[in-house]
Amino acid sequence: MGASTRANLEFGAAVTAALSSFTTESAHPPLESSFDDLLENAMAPRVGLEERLLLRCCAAARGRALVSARAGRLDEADTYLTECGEILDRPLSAAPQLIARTFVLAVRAYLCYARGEFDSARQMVGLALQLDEALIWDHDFHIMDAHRIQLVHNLMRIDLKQSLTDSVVRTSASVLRYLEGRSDALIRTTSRRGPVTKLPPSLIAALAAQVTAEAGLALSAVKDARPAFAAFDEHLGHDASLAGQHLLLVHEWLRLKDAYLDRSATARDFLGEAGRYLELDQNHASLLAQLVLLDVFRWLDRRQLEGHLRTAIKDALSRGSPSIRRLI
Amino acid sequence: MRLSTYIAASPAIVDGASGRAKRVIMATRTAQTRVVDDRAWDYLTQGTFDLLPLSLLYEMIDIEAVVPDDEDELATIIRRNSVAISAASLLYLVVQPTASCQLGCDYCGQEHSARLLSTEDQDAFVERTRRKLRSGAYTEFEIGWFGAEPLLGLSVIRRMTPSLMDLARECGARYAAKVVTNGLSLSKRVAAELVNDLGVRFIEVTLDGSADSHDARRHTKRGGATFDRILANVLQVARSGLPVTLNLRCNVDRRNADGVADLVRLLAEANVQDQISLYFAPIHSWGNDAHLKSLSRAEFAAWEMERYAEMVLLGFTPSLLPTRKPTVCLAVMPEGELVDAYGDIYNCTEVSYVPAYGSPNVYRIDSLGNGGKNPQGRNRPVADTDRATGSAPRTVAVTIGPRPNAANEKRPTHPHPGLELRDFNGRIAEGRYDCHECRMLPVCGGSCPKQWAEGLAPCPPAKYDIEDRLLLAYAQSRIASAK
Repeated sequence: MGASTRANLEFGAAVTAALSSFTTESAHPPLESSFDDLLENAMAPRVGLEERLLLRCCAAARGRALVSARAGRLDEADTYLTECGEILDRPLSAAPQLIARTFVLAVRAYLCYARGEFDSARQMVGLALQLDEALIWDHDFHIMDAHRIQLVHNLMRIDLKQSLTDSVVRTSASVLRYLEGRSDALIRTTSRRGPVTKLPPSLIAALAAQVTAEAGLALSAVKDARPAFAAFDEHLGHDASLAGQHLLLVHEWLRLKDAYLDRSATARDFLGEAGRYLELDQNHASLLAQLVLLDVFRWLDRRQLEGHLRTAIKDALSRGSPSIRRLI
Repeated sequence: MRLSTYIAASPAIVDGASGRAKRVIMATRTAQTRVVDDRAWDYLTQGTFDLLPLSLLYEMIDIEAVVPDDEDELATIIRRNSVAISAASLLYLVVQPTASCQLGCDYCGQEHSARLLSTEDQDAFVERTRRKLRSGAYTEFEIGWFGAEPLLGLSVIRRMTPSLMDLARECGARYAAKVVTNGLSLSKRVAAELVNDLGVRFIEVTLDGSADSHDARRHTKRGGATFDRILANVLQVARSGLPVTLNLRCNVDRRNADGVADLVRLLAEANVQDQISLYFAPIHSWGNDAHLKSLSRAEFAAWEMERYAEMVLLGFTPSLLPTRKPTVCLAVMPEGELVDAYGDIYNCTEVSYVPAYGSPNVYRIDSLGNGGKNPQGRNRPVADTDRATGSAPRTVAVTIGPRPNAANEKRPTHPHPGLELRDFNGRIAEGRYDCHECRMLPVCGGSCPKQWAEGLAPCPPAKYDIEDRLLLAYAQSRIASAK
């Protein structure tokens, strides 16, 4: 069996496995629950029961606001945020007050985003970032660095909504550099700097996947993504093992994207990389995996290769994340 | 933090597997239920939260069973209700295509006539609706075809529906319709047309117990029996496979309470448990004294639990637990309206065609014919009636406003009772109705603004039997999971 044939067979097997385990629910990485647990552990020795219960009240109201906002019921979301405000008017010590406020600001930012008020959304996120920095550096709540990265991810989403591809990709590359430990500044506008080593590897991996996927969506939405992708060049040459196994998936994804954008890449190179990636990424419904399948679909389209595989991939993607469905 | 006022808890039950005593609780603010250890319930009621696992406390907070000490819970509920009402994405309008009805139900307060909604008024209604939908605030548009008996106005429904559907499409709203019918004309063909061609997704039919009970009061205007034909129609629709929700309502008073169990058994024998939702309602005042023959609220609640228990054993899955109800009814919807066959507009489904409410009807808020400029509206011909001979319910004087007592007897009657209904939540907040201190408010919404305004207390059965409902629902869920 020739090497090319073997590559194709391996790719086909990997894609088949990916498609067969594709579900209609897009994968939710265990990001939120692991973050919540870590925050609870951080608060346990330092925040009294009554205050933690009040924070929970605020979190519940905030959660309802988010549910309402996502369903388009923005006035209802405002009402729940008003209730958050009433909870925060109660006497709370410094750190719990900051924790509650940064989360409420993030939801307020989402409401602005949902209303198309992008400048206001960025402003809210900026304020929340400052609160997170105070929590990290002044109150030793290092877990809030994960929230900081989530907030930057939200900035990326705002940029994506406004089709600011270069900004999305540059920010993603900046965050990735930070998560790799090669920079102490999360993004250019961050006022404070410091290492991120205190987050657990699994959380770092999930955050890296999140911001990389956002860049992937931005790149997939433009005709010529090569110029914007150049922001990731340093990560392609970077030795993945130095960054740690937990970032392997993201680096593999970047290498695959590079192969896709390299129009001279052979079928063996590109499909081989795609197959290897899909074997590596066990979460076949993750946004990164869906982006890989989208690239494969487009690669087949470019070469006018109709057939069962193309149809199966298109069918799977049509059941995937709404962000992906818009790109098919 | 403290236990919310808006809590219902079942009596303690012993879990067979663990031997531990548990309770089923419902936080009515969110209508969420949980099963908690009886000891944990004691800690919750005593406020000794430090003895509870944090995860349980968090769960109680999430469902709003535990709230901040100083929260004004009534204000929170009313505020949420108000926002839900004002921000509603559904435009719900009711049309009575005719004032005619074949039946002469002895508790009905309506006066029927052969009147159909004129084509002029049909078009005026569509234009009025266009102005509402064009605001862009609505993504859903629902029409309720009510009566009298709406299927006697099928020609009106047929004529209006295409325009209403086009209007919905034009304004980017999803269209649906519901029909509340006596069922006599609900043949398989008519049902198919309603569902397949006229956008009907929900049909409600009334059967008042077994044939004897039902025919004694829901007879034709000439006294003829109707049960057999209605039941046959209902069963045909249930078995037709039509994509429609089929509700069966059973109005209950002392006269037919004993005959209802037979109806339940009949439906079970017909094997339509999964196709029909059966519910019971106490006979209420319809501008008359029909409610005087009803069971008391507490009696009805107890009676109803027995029926629900029978239903569960017979394979039905009745809706036992109430859900959150921020919008009590049409009356509180800012743009909710009912238009009757004369083109008069109301914001309540219980007041049109009711002579007890005067002429012009005191609840009328507008009229299609004059664009709302003339509050007197048009006169209705007194002779235009096809009312059955035989005894009619005695009408009683209608008091609009809070129940008369020494404290408020000097309060003036509201000049526009229809508009008074719209501010129902405000009246609750002011403490005018018992709802302001009732734990069921979030899940009943106050039940019926009109009845409160008339000095009645229309509390739903769940107010009296929620604890038993929680237990029965728990049993129902255990049966389902055992299958």
